[in-house]
Amino acid sequence: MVLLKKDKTHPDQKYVKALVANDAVLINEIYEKFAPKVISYIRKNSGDETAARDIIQETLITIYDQAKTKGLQLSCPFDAYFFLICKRKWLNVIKKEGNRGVTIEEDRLYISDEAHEQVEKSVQFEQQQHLYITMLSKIGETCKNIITLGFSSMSMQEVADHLGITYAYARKKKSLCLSKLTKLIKDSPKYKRLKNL
Amino acid sequence: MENDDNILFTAYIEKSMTEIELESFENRVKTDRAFAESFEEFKEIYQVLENQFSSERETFIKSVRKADSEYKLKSNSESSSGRVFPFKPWQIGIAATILLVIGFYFFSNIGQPSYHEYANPGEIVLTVRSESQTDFKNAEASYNSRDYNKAISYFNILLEKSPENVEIQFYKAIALIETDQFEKANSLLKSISEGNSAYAHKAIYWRALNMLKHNKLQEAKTILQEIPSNSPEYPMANKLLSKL
Repeated sequence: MVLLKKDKTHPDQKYVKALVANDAVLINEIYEKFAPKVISYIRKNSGDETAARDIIQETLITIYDQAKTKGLQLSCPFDAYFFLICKRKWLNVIKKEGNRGVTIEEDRLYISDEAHEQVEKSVQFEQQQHLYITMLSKIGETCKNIITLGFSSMSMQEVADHLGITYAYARKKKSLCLSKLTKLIKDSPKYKRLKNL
Repeated sequence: MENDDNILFTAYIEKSMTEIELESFENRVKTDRAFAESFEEFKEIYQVLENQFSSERETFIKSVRKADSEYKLKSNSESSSGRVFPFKPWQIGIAATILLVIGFYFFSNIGQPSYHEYANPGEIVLTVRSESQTDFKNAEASYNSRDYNKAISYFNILLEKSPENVEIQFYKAIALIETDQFEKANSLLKSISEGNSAYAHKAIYWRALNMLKHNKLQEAKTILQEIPSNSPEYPMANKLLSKL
């Protein structure tokens, strides 16, 4: 089968770039242009504006995280992509709460396969990220602290001072803890499952 | 074995390898597929963690929250001015009574001035010095689009080159107030107000506003009294003082 590869980046990539660059003007524009549809969808599906706003914030953070760590090339309009992720997140919330007695009103807008694919990737990324962070709480307090602080804006010297250890030991410990965490992540069945999606 | 590899990966990413180690590492990535794959997986986890706890991400989340609350204000005011409620006369009577009660409550208990009533960071046009024009323009643009975090970073670059530039110090202080960095704003404004530049009295006024923003009313009052009556800042300061 021959697949026609359309690798063209969509002009809406500017919104992804804006998130990474923390561009306040464009972030406001994202709210102006794309939030109303999400709010109205969630309102129609047993949520309220506050719930919708939480979902929007989470979605923007997911997009930022993915763009920042894996690079994110948008091949579809931001509108569809953003809306679909919000929708997925909202459906998850409803599923978790279980007892809302919800009837989901389907949206009638056309969404391309490309947008669906892109959303799948983002959802997969988010699950992986979630797995890594969850595992972090399973490797012991000292390791968790040294990794959290080691990646913060603190320098390794400051981290060492904060924990009352030497600089050399702090670096060594961070490296050992990262190794321990990586092993734990890779050994988990969820890691393998997500990788093979 | 895997354990050792992970340690190597960290050393490579954090650039703490000797030249010999580096060379052998890069060779191994080229020749050993399993090792290369394992490295890619490690790098992915490392990058997620690095991003997760970075200060940049923290700043980004703050911006999103800010955009959210600004959007909230707008959507609320639109919905309240956009909708018309058909009131019956008796309902108007009740509404008027409620308003009166609320009004009375506010005047008697909360008649307190707010930071936003008195603070206007406005737009700035900086006195550009030829040596770092772009930084001046960027600082100006970020400040004027109310992206105060970005403005602060540009102000810092400018201040590194000329720490004595009071104009920049002053606008940086306002940006610090806007981003709720109370202590930093306070000490910077204090040092400006102790100098004898054109910004000295302005700095006193904004130092009081910083106090007001954080509900330190007594401190705000005391600071406002430092502004001399012949200062251009005096009328506003006096007005605020009378409300405190």
